[in-house]
Amino acid sequence: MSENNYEKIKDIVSKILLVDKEDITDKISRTDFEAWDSMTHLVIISELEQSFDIILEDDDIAAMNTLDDIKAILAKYEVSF
Amino acid sequence: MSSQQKTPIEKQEKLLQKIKEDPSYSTYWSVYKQLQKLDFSKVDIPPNQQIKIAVLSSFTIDPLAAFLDIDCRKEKLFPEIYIAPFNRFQEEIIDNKSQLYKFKPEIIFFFVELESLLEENFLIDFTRHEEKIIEEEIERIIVLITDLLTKLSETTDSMIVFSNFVIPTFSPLGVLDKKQHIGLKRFYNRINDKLETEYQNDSSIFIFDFNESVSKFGKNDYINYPMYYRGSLLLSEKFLPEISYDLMGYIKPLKGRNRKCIVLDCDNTLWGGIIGEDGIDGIKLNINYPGNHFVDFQKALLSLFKRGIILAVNSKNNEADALEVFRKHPYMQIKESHLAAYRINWQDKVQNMIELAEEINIGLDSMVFFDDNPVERARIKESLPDVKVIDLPKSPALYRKTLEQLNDFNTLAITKEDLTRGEKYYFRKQREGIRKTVQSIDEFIKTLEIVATIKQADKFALPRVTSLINRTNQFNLTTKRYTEAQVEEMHKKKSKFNLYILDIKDKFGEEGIVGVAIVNKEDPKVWIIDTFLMSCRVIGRKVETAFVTKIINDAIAAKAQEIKAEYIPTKKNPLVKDFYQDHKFEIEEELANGTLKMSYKQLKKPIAFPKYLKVNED
Repeated sequence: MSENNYEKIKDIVSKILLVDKEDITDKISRTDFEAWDSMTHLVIISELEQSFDIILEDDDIAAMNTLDDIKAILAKYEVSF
Repeated sequence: MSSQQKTPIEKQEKLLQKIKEDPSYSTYWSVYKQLQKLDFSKVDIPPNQQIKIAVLSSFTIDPLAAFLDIDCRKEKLFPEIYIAPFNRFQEEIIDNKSQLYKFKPEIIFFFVELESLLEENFLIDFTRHEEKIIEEEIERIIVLITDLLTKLSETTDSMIVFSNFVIPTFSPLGVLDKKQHIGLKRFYNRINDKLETEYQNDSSIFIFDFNESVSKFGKNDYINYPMYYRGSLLLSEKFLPEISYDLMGYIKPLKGRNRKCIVLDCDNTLWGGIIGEDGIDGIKLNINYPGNHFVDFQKALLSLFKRGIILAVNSKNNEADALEVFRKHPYMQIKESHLAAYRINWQDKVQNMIELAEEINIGLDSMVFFDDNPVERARIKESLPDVKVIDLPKSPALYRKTLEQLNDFNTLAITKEDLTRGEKYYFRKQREGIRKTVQSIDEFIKTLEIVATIKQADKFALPRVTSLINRTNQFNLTTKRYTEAQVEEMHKKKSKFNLYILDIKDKFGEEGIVGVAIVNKEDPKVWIIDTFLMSCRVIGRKVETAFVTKIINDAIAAKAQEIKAEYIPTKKNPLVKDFYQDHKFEIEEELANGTLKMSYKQLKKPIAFPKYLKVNED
């Protein structure tokens, strides 16, 4: 189950950022990726919200800069890893 | 082939395939981004396949571009899309040097939330307003919009599609909203109605019924509120494909991608059952269940005919049987006079389709094909990709809905000539023999992955065997009927009778037992094929050849010297008159009633089954 959630966010991020899933690391970050612009960020947020059936708070959205961040923040919303 | 050597078109096809496999929001987004990176500069794209689309909006609508772009590409168009910065539509329209005008769009979609145009606090105070204030606000809004649209249409040659306003589900007045002279909902309705009236006769400005588009999807769900507050992203992810589909209703006719002709199968499409088997009294077609499915579907087709859509028939049947239904069946809504052309015969439907296009004198890309049989649909899809083949649901209860959801029949103007187009074809029907190279039947059969199982019937199969013996009319060489007791009797006498069954499955699923043959071998040296029949659903896929081959090979294995067979003609079975001759039987005698007495004597070396079929024997 928890393994699945990790795979799920990797799937979302890799698909939207157009990066192969194997190349996605926990450290992948917004500053490294030109493609990760504000519109794309909103697409990622929207997919995360739909997939986990949650509504993220403003501060959390702004703080999601790496895959690590996403994991940590989703954990607050009772998504287990 | 490495990805470097692929043309942009091939890369595009591969990307579009991803959408087919997983049509999710994130796939659309990523495929869209990848499509934008492809370099089409060296591809020669004819002007009628290029389309420049601009979108103006009071809310952020960037993700719509992904859906519009991909939907256009599915229609073989190459789009360029300009999304104006959100809520800057007034500036874009007023400034002659704006990005919008530089872009030179062919079509402009224009979305505004009414709330963004209203005087501040107008909605909060709505219940306190005097009627006069509300009427004035309606006038002010109409003037504001018509001024913008006038400026837009004067400055461009574009087609302009303005979205009407979504009527809210909420009113502070609740149930009393309808008791007001102008309640909140009527306020929205009034504005929508006035806009519609204003542009009724305008050939370049269209009012898109956004309110209806949203209603179809669901007013409770079309807004993604968290995203709306965050980034003015109003429309929810799940609604985007729906709105894009509706907008394609304008793009298709603008670029000549609209369809003009509906080609129909007959059995289980226009009526329930099989005319060749069930007869004109037996098919399901009347005002009661389940015949009402088909009457209703036909009425919907006829309503399209009356706005100028051409109807044609492509059916595997005896022509006389099917035409009798069109001419005489009291519940038949579509009459022969509604058909621009028909091909009712036993030849390949691909060939028929090409002939229909030639006869009606329209392109295959103007045709839509309705057929309940997935094999026929696959055949047309593979061989004639220009024809739009509808994936008709299994249940006829959904036929009408499926038809009414298509947005392929739009034109941008309707003329008197359009309204009567269907009729004029009736008088110019003529057959022209034309042959074109299409994918060969053998190749097609290969793609079906047919597995034919031919074996002696076990006792569980006997009810189905009896039913086929008594029901099958068309592919039936002798049309001998037997009771269940007689069938059981033959089944028991294994030394005297071989009772064969043929079972078919293909990549679309199981057909089950579709063929029966009875061989009388009371004289072991001379086998007699007493009965040989097949359900007409599977005709034309070489399974009949496999079936007779099995009998011949069994006779060889049993050291028989001759196989005798006969064709006994009936009104229903001219289809199989040449069946035995086609399989190297020789005519020994022709009786006065037309019965052919046949013989096969080459019983030496076993014959191979048709290629492309997988045959299981017991």
